[in-house]
Formats: sequence, structure tokens, C-alpha cells
Amino acid sequence: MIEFLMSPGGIMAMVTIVGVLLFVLGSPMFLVLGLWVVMAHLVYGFPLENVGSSMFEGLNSFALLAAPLFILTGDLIGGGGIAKRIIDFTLAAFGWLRGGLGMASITASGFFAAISGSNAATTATIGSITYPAMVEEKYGKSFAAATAAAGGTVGIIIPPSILFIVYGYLVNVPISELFLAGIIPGAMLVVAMLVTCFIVSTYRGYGILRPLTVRGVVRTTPGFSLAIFAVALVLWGLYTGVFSPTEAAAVTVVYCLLAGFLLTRELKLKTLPDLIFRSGMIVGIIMPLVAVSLVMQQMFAVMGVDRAVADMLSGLGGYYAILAACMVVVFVAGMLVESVPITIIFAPIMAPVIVKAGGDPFHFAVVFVVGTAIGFITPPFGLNLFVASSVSGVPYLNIARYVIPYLAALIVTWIVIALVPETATYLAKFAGLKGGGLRMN
Amino acid sequence: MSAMLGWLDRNLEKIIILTAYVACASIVAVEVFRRYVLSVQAPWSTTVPAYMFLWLTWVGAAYGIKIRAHLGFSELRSRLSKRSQYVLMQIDNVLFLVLATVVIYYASGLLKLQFDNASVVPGTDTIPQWWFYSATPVGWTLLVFRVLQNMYLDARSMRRDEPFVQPGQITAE
Repeated sequence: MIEFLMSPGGIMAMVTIVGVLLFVLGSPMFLVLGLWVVMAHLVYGFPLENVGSSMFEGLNSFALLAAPLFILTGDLIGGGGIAKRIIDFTLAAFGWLRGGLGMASITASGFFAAISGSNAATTATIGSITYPAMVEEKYGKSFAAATAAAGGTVGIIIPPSILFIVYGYLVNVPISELFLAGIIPGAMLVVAMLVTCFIVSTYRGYGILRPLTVRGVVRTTPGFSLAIFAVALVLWGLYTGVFSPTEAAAVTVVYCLLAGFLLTRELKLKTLPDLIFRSGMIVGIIMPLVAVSLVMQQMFAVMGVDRAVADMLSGLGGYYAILAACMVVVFVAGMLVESVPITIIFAPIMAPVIVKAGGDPFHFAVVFVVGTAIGFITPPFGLNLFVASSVSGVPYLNIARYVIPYLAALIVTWIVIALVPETATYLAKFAGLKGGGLRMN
Repeated sequence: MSAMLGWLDRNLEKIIILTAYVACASIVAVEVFRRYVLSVQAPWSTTVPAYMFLWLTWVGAAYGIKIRAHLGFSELRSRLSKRSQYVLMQIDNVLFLVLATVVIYYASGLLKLQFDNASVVPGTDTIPQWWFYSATPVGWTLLVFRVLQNMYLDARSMRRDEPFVQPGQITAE
């Protein structure tokens, strides 16, 4: 026993326990992971210069640049009034149903996700508009906040997606094909949540019924088409090869600026710096986590944890057993940790094992990322729940309770996606991309 | 003087973040246009935006300390006594200083190497690489400064028996 505790592995086990303790007691994840990484270098005698250089080189990538740009598009369509126009349209389309406003909120989240790349931003932007309206229509505060939190989970499934960008960068699969693979599963998740919202709202008599009018739909279509144009621009550019995901992000930024200044005229030069700055703050929270997680992943390889986990997974036997084990790990990790470290630490270990067992790399990427997306609404650490709580003022745990029907719907859909690889691979085949190749972006 | 320091305290990160963000997005956007329409592209147009992104990241990280927005699990801590909360906050602060010292020390080593070798940015002839690579040590130094500020503020709140500074909510507005 003492011998084990004195071995490098034993020391790191103790370091890990202390780290978990710190995290449970509220130390920032970025700090805990960073310290763990430094300790791992010391214990394994790995030069600390690596930490110094990785904090720069780990993020020094043109492909990764798509992430901050797709964070910015979120704030721009929020500030430019395009997010509101999306909601106007979805409300005109769904308002006649029981729970229509909730369904409008979820659908709007889906469209918002198709322009911006993050879950928290989707929840914050859509939630801050639909939550007050839902409360006014007597939806129940907790359910209204839960709807915003759940709707936001598709932010990283429906392309563009920060997590697909990180995943592609890390596992070396083309980001544009990952984007394509996320479309159908993202739509499935939206539909699952719509059904949930309809059932819960009908059961509880939430909301008011609006008559469905052609005029309402027609009136809101021009505003909505601003959003659709942005989506079409990205997809067209990516799949005709005119631009890379990063360039697509920059083009979308320019489009959102033009649309906000010239078409909706809701963007103002005076408030623009604040919008950009807000995105900058989010980058300053997410990207440091990416940087330390990358070094952590490296150290796992140095320590042989990589191979041990991979061997354990392959030892489970068949493809479905391995896939199920991966899903359980991602789900449990998602309850405790942010999606970025989970992806960076587990994706490079799991993806090769799955491919070796006969799985499709794009399908697995989708299954993996959907799992981390569900982690955004699973307590104790559910980022969307925190965001929804801060947008609405509803206590965190109340939202966690009311999000359960959505959670169930998402998990069922997740399992369906896992069992039917075509959900992820169909569009790539349809678009004539071969898939499965390991190409650089 | 103190008015200027106060202004810097409020706006330093903001200025750097805005500059880096705008530069990064504009370079990429302009270069897509130039390549698509004029069929030319500057050779540094894929490296410099990434460098700007690094500035954005580490200066943003420092600002995240200032507004206490780095992600963590706060449910348990918020239920502890004020005294325990205070101790945990100061432990976080000290640990941040330790981590930052390691990063700054070793990142500066790298910087010195580039300085001594007069490395230039790939795709350019003259622009020194260390201009951009200083993002890590500078960002983390700023982070140290923000941690020290928080240590002082927390100690003051404790001494005066005032409520602690609450974490900033960047997503809610």
C-alpha cells in the first residue's frame, strides 16, 4: 500500500483526490485542472517548459479560431435583433398550439444554434427573451427557465458548434463534415423537446392559445429570413469549399454586422463594443479550459492512462458494449465537469477504440457531443441550468427538477441516435462526401 | 493619476480584448474576400489571427478572475459559513498565484529564446514573433494582478464584515 502511494501513480491518485475535493468545495475548474497538470509534470519528471509553451501552442491553431468567431455571432444576432425575429416567427408558427410559446422558444434555440456555436449563449440569448413572456403566460417560472436551459442544449449539436470544432481539431477529423453530421441529430433533439413541451403544457394547461394566421406567419417571415440567410451562407460556403469553418465564421460575423446595422438597424456603434466584449469574456472562460485540458490529455498519454482506458474499453468486447460504456462515461462525466475538458480528455481515447471496433468516426463524434450536450442540464454541474438560473432568478435546483422531462426526452433521443448511425452519416453520403477519412482541416 | 489608474482598472482588459477580437475577425474576413474575389491572400493571414486569439484568451482569462466568472461548482461553498468561504477563497487565490508563477516563468523562457533567435512570424520577414508570444506571460501577469486585487477585496470584506463580492454573470443581461 505504502509502496503504491509512493509510486508516481499513487502520488497522482492522491493529487487527483485533493483536486476533486477542491472542485467540490468550489474552486474553479480551470484552476484545479491547471494545478493537476503542474503536479503531473513534477511527479513524472516531465519538463515544466511544456506547460509554458502549451499555454500558447495548444491554442495556436487557425482551425480553433472558428470557436471565438462563432461565439461572437451569437452575441451579434442577439444584439442585432435577429434572435428576436427568429422568436417572432417561431411564435407565429407555434402559437396556436398548447405550450406554443415554449415550443417557439425551443425552435428558436435550434435556429439560434444554427448561427452561433455555444449552448450557454443559446440559453442566455433565447431565454432572456422568452422567459419573461412565458412567465406572463403563466407557464410556471421553473418550467419556463427549464425550457430555456433544455432548448440551449442543441447549441453545440446543430452546426456551427464549438465542441465539434474542438473535437475535430483534437481527433483530426474534418470539422465541416462533423458539422454536417450534427444537423439531423440536432433536429431530432429539437423535435423530442417540442413533443415534451407540448405534453407537459397540455397536462398543466400552460400558456394561451393564439389563432394561427397566414398574416402572422407572412409578417414575420422577412425578419426570420435574415437568420435563414446566415445559415444558408455558412452551409453553402462550407460545402462548396469556398471557405473553411474558420472563414465561414468570419463571413458570418460580417453578415451579422451588416444585417444588424443596415437591415434591422438595431445594432448601434455605441453598443457594439459591449457586445464584442461580452463574447470576449466567454472566450476568456472557455479557451483557458481548452488549453489546460489539452496539457492534461498529454499527461494522460505520458502516464499511460490513455492506453489503460483504451484497453479496458476494447476488453469489453463488441462494438455496442464499447459504445454503451463510452456513453455512460460521457454522461457521468457530464454531470460533474464542463463539456470542454470532457471532450479533450476522453474523445482522443475513445474515438480510436470505437473506430477499431468498426464504428463510424463521424457517428461517434455526434454520439459523444450529444452526450456532453446533455451534460449541460444534468446537475450537480449543469452549465445551462446555471445560465438559466442567472437569466431568470429561479433557484438552480428548481430548474434542475423541472428540466427532468426534457432530460428524459433527450436521453431517449440520444440512444436512438447511437443505435442508428445513419442519423449522423446520411447527410454526408447525400452530399457525396465519403467520410471516414482522416484529413486535415 | 488615481483617476487614470481607476480607468485602467476598469478598461485595460476591455481595450486589449476588443482590439484582438476585431483584428482577428477582420483579418480572416478580409482575406476570404481577397482570395475569393481577387485570388490573393497574405501569407501571414492564418498565423496572425490565431496569435490575436491567444491574446484574447489570456487577457480574457485575467478578466474572468476580476469578475470571478471562471466556471466552478458553487452550490456547496455557498452553503458554508462566511469564515469557511473566506478561507476557501483565499486558498483559491494562493493556488492561482502558484499556477501563474509556473506558467509565467516557463513561458518567459520560451519568449527569451525567440527574442535571442530573432524569430519572425511565419509569412513575414520582419515582424518579431515574441510580440505575439508575449500573450501568455502578459496575460498571466495581468491575471496575477487581478488575483492580488481579489485577495485584498476579500480580506477587506471579511474585516469589515461586509458581504463578499459576488461572481459576475456575463451571460445574463
